[in-house]
Amino acid sequence: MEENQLEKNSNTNGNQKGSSDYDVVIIGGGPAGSSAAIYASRSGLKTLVVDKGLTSGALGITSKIVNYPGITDEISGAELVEKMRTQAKSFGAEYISDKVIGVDLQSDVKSVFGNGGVYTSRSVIISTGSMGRGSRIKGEDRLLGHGVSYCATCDAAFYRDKYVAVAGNNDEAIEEALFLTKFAKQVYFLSQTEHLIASEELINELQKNQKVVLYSGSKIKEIIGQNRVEAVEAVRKDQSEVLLNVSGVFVYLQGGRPVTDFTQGQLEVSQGGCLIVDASYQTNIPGVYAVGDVLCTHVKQVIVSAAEGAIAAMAVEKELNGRSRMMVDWSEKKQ
Amino acid sequence: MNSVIHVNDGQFEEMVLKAELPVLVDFWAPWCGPCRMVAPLLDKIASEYSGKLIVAKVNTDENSQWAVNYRVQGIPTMLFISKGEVVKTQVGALSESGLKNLVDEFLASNN
Repeated sequence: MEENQLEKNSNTNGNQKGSSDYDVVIIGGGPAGSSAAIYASRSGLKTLVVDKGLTSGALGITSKIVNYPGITDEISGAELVEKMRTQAKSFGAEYISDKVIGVDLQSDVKSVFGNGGVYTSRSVIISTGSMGRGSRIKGEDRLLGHGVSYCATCDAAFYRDKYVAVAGNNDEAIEEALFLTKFAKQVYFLSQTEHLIASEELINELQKNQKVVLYSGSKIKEIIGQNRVEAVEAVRKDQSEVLLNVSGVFVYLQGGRPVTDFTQGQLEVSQGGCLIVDASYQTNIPGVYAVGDVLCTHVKQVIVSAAEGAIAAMAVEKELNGRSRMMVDWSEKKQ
Repeated sequence: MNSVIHVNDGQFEEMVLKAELPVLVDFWAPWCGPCRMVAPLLDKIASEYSGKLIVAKVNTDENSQWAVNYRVQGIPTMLFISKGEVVKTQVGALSESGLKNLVDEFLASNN
């Protein structure tokens, strides 16, 4: 696997195009990313969407959408995203469940690094939304790598037969917690909300797992330990405090900031932390686009995100096929 | 041109702790995404800093002794070791420029 990657990344010669797995990799599968996927795959581009989970974004956790044109029956945000995904898949787009942790956008062949794999493409559309975290838990930064982790896949094996805590409330947090149960003796799942935001199936799986102890409506106040994690202190919904002795804490909390940390300074960002784009939603790096709530200039509405995704996908298609005008997909009917 | 060396538990003392040059040791595992992200950067650093720095990798899946000794609980963990002493620790993947800055600081503090 490593050798493959070295090979993929060794292509730094600008004259050689190199080969990539996809024409476009879209990071984030909400309304912006999935609309981009519909347009990109519909125009024949080999399209991959890398996404953390259905309820990891703002629309996925919205209970009711009533103002999306054409959808007259009451529908939840997650159902609307699912419909968009089904539509994109019907045109050939692929979806993969993975968390993107880094990117190499400078080379002709762009690499998107996930916890589960490396995806290469000719262009990238970033639609990661604005549910990134701002503040950290007390003790989190100091104990990172000494018990604090953001990747169960990477670090679960270090917690064999130990007690661990997971902080989060969405499908990403639940899946990571379930993965941890294969190694850890006990997994304390601390959800800041009373109800978990994920599919019923996933919630059932978590609740049924003998190794999981669920603390709903509980927020971690402090991660405690001298040189390594020894405990977490949490405040429960009735304001009582609980101290849990754990060796590890896996954090999957969200906030209200644009999710751009994985770009590691490769793209221009505004003071508010949003990505900066031109009229076709292209960033300062050619072939790299950003759409949806990850932009500051954007009105946070599903229809706006969807439109931006469509515009960016058409711009990608135009760029990759070397045409001067965008291809407008009126219909398949010929005159 | 130097490349990354792979070190097992038995070789660690000789190849890392007793090395004359400063050493960057990466504790990694094949299933770990952030480790895969760092891999090509380490390869690049090994060749660019050839003669100044040794870049070593320890697969924690097969060799856990030194990872346990250094209380490694998350991967990738990169230790910057000079004459057997850990001078700096970096946990988690970082950008090429970020990693180069760490290497430059490490080498400067070593002189």
